[in-house]
This record gives sequence, structure tokens and C-alpha cells, in this order.
Amino acid sequence: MSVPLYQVPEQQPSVWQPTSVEEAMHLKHKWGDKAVLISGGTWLRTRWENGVSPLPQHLISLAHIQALSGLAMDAGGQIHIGPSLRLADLMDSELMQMKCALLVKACAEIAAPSVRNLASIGGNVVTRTGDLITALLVMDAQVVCSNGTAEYTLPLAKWLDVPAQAISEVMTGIKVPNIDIEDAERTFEFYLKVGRREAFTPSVVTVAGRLSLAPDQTIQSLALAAGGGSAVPARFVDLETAAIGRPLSKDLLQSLHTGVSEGFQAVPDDYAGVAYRKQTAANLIVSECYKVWRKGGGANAPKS
Amino acid sequence: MINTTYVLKCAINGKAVAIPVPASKRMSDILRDDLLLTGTKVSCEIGRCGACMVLLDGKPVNSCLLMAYQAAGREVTTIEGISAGEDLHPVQQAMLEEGGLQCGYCTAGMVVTLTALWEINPAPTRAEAEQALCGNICRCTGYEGIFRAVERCGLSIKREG
Repeated sequence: MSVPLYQVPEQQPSVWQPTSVEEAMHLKHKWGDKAVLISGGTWLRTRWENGVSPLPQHLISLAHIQALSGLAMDAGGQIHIGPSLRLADLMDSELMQMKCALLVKACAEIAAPSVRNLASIGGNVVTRTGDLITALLVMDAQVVCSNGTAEYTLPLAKWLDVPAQAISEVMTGIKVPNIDIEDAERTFEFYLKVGRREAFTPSVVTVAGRLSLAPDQTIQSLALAAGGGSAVPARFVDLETAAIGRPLSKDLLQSLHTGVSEGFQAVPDDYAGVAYRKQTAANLIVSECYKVWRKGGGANAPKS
Repeated sequence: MINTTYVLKCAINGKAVAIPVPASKRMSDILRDDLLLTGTKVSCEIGRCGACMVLLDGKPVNSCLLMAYQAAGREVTTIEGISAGEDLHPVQQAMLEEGGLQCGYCTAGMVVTLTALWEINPAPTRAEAEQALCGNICRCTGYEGIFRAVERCGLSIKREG
């Protein structure tokens, strides 16, 4: 029987367990590409087993850095999520269920409970294609990163623009801004994932949205995002800007459909082509906006 | 540098162990090769099939995804630790009575997952059971016998309720 390389004791990576961000980054700078920062490790192991990434010589575990696993709300209502927090722990948090229901819903669509008991929030985000990203994008989330000596905060959308291979840093936080409670009754959110089976499925298309209506039923704010497969999720900023101030209408839904179809940077693979993914993303988003039109008191909304 | 000096200290099925293994060695390999606890099965090796399911501090995890250092100081329960001596766990008894197994390869993982579910929710709905079991794949045939076992486990509670 052949023995895969990773099972040969001499080929097992060393594991380092720093207790501070500075120490972790010192180790990362010391070994460069020979070392990988690891949290839950569920995504990394899949890549090693599938031969997509080589097994590194060194694993730098983030599990013992307490500052990376917290979950709190500050005085301004902003949520601070530690990237090492497990998906299951985020789902169990009453704070998150109350304040970030969209993110809880997104977590519930990822893998199976047994994987969610190991996988971390930050790990899903640093893949740049994770299912949490669309939800975090429409929540206007920011990420905090450190190179070991300095820390900076950046909107998630901007952080996604920088190629992963150009970065030698660790994510130290995810911040979700406060949602104005006064707007809660007129704010609608959605998160939908389409895969090839009902549960525990890789995403073919994932969309998320947040829409708030003014008292006169015009769109007060709009955030839409799409991703799935190997696509890096992104917002539709121009489309959102053009829709704000307009009432939900058939014309608007048609323009959203066209805009999403044209704007979604879908990536083909063996399971679905670009055209299918574009159309699916557009259909999902428009269908959810139509439901808002009906739910939001749109007396003139057609029944179908 | 080869990390050969690491000693994993944790509890396995209620017993403290201290075993020298590479810190990144998979728990599924440690259980089967080092501790000869072969009730835990290995199949996909990427956390998709659930055959290697164990409980880590009472919660189901795929032991093929769990590395030695991640289990340090924690309680691991394998299929061998589910029953109480000669007495089968109610989940095991129900699986037996309802024919909730075909070839049996997935059964250990199914029982481990269902035991974790049973501890927090002894009478789950079909939807809750499906969600809990979505990481356990059976390649023989359908899952009806397994879901009948879930139903049997919770019957007395449902009738009382």
C-alpha cells in the first residue's frame, strides 16, 4: 500500500504555537513561504490532500493567541469579531443572532456542523472565496490586519482587491458597523447559496443583499454582493448608487437584472459556466428585491 | 526541523493519554495506528464523508481534519467510548433495532454524530436530524433506516410531550 507523503513522520510539518500576533508574524517572516498561518485548518487540509497546495514545512497556529478569538460589541454598537472564532461559536452567540443574523445564516450554509466546530471565521474570509464574504460585504464589514509591527483597518471590499500572494500579514479582526435600529423595520436582508445539493455543498453562486426603504417607499440604501465557486465576491457599487432614491418598480428590477448579469465577475469550472452563474446571481437578487417590494408595502407591486 | 518530540496529552474515552506523535499528525491516524481504536473509520480524508467522526469536548468533529496539537488538553470520544461497557447507547440500540446500517462502514460516524445530537436534543425533528447528519455520507443506499433510528430514540419523549 502506498503511503501519502503527509503520513510519513519525516514529512510532517513542525507546529509552532505563538501566543501573540507579534510572535506569529516573527515566525512567518523568518520562514516566508515555507510557513503557513493556520487557524481551524479545515480548508488548508483539503488543499493539501487534493494536491492543490504543498504541505508546508511549518504550521504557525493562531489558536493560542487569545486576542484573535473574541467577540464583542463596543459602546457605538460596532461588532468586533475575532478571526479565530469558530463558525459554530458565532452561530451560537446570542449577540450575533440579534445583531448579525445575516452572518449567522451564512455560517449555517457552510459545510456541516462537524466542520463548523473546527473552521474559523477568519479562515473562511482569507480564502477570498468563502461563503461569509458576500454577507460581510453587504454589512460594510472592515478587516483589521497586522504585519507584526503595525496594524491597519481596511474595508473588506478594498482588502479583497489586493492579491493574496502579495500579503505577509495576519487578519486580527473583523468589524461590522452598527445597524441603526430606527431603520430596522424598513431594512430587509437576504443571503442565498446555490449549490449542487441541498446541504454541505460548495457554492455555485452565493448572493447577499441589504435594502432599506424610505417612508415614501423609495430605496434609501442598497447593498448587493455576489460570489460563488472561485469568484472573489464583490459588490455592485454603481448599480446600488443608481438605484438609491428610486422606488422599487419593474423597470428598476429589470435594470438590476441586467446590471448584475453584466457586472458579476463569475469564474467557470467543471460544474457551471459563466453564463449560468451570471443569470443565477441576477435571478436570485431580483427575486429577493421583488419580495421586498411586496413585503415593504408596495401596493403597486405585481403579484408575479 | 522535524517535530518528533511533541507529546500529545489529552483524554481519550475518559482515560488520560500521553503519546509521542508529530504535532501535526491527524487524529484519525493516531486513533487507528497508535492507539488501535479502529472503530473510527477513514474514507475521504478531507472532512466530507463523516466516517471518522469523533467527539471533541462533546461536539462532533472530523478526526481526519483534527491535528494532534488541536486536541491537546481536550476530551476525545470515539465510537468505542459511546457505549457504557456492555450496555449500548440508546442511539446504538435504535440503529440496531431499525436496521440503520447497510455495509456498516459509515455507521460509527453516524452514531457519533447522532450521540452528540441526542445529548442536546433527544427528540429532533426530521429537519434537525437531516441538518445534524449532513456531514455523514452513506454510499450504500438511502437514509431511511437511520432516520427511523433517530425517530425511535425520541419516541418516548415525543409521546410524553
